Amino acid sequence: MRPEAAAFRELDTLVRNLSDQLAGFRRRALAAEARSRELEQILAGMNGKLDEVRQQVEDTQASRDAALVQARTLEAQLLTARGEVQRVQAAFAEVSAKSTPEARDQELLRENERLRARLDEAREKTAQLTERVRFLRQQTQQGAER
Amino acid sequence: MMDQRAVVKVRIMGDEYTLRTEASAEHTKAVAEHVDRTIRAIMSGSTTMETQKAAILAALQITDDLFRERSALDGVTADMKQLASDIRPLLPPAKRGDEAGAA
Repeated sequence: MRPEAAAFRELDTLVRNLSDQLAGFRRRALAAEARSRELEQILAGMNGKLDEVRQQVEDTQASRDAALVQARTLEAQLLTARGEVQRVQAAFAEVSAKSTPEARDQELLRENERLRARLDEAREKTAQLTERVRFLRQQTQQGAER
Repeated sequence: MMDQRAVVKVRIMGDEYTLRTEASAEHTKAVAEHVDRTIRAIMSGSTTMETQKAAILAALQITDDLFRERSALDGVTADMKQLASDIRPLLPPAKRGDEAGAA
């Protein structure tokens, strides 16, 4: 085979193989381009979903903040109610302490003394009134005899 | 065994020649026409030149053309080999072909 023919045949084979390689690269590039477009579309859809999720997160955070405020209010009300309960419990304890048998005996003794004092006072007044009535009756009888 | 060569009749400078050749008739006629045209071109430059001398000058000119074309062909062959050696690294090993001719 002539040298130029051999060189041409070799070059022809290499160029054909190179063409095959380029065709493969082109197919892969086209496939990658199509895949890239597909992923871009998916990404665009996901961006929309992401915006929705962000909005939901913001709404949830707002609800959480409102719930926190409400919880603080309820906590304050609970503290107030606990104080009230403690006050009522103390009052109840005080009343209960007073309602023991000893306390009742003490109270009855004090009441008895008060009643006795009033009785003495009433006897005193009755005696004074009786004396005054007797005096007035004597004065009336002396006037009728004159 | 039969002779496979074709017989082709050509005419150069008015004389007819019968040639036996393995080449095609078209090729043989084209070669004869080229020789005839070259001799006539040389003779057109001088009114007193003999046909035999013109034929020798035509042979010299055609041989000069042949050598120049061979040299150019060697250059093209070298360029093709260089191009092949440039392309070969771009291909996977299985597709690099016979590298013996590239050396």
